[in-house]
Amino acid sequence: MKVYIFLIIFFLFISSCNNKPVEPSETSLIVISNFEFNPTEIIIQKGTTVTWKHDDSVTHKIVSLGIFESENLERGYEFSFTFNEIGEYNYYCSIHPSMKGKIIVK
Amino acid sequence: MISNLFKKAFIVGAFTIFFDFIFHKFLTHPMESLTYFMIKFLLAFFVAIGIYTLNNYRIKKRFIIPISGLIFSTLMSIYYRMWELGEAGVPFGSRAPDIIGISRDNLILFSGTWWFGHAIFFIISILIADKLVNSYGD
Repeated sequence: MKVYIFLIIFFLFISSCNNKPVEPSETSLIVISNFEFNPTEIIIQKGTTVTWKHDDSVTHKIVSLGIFESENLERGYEFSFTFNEIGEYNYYCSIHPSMKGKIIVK
Repeated sequence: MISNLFKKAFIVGAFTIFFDFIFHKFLTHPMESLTYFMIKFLLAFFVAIGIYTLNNYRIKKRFIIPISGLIFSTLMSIYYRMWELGEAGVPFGSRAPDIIGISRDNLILFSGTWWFGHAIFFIISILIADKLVNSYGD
């Protein structure tokens, strides 16, 4: 009986210790629709290429000051950028400045 | 001492962006930027200065106020259409946010709502400024 109790406690202990750190997102595709970046914020590994896919009714232009700047994007068009430096990158649509997003590179 | 002219124009600017903010908050998407509201405030302020300095404003205010609202709204539209076609190089109307319940495809209704809305916000603000400042003995 003591063995069973020990095993249960041991199992609970092990399972409680199994808190994995938050893994960086595998997502590297951001969809622009309904005047929003979806997802708004992603975590990626250094060297990941992020692609923004335009699926909205109006033109958008993605800008991260001093880092990258897309052309004017129409529906169906894409823009990609490879993040080779660790850091946090805020970006926005220069046509609709309230549209904002963030890329966290680890 | 701040003159009544300045006071009234300031009130017009402040109320115009207040009504516009409420409109954007609940009926459009996405929310507009701080720059947008600042430009709108300045435009409303200077258009108000313009009409308050007209010699016959008091006599013909029933005509001047509605017309000034339409002028204000038109100037705002001209600014953004020029920005779209000039600086940003994007298609006509790209800058305007969506209005909830009104399709962008219906260009007359969509642009008309913007135009009329901005004019109404300005006109109401003029009436409020007239009421408020006149009550102080202007």
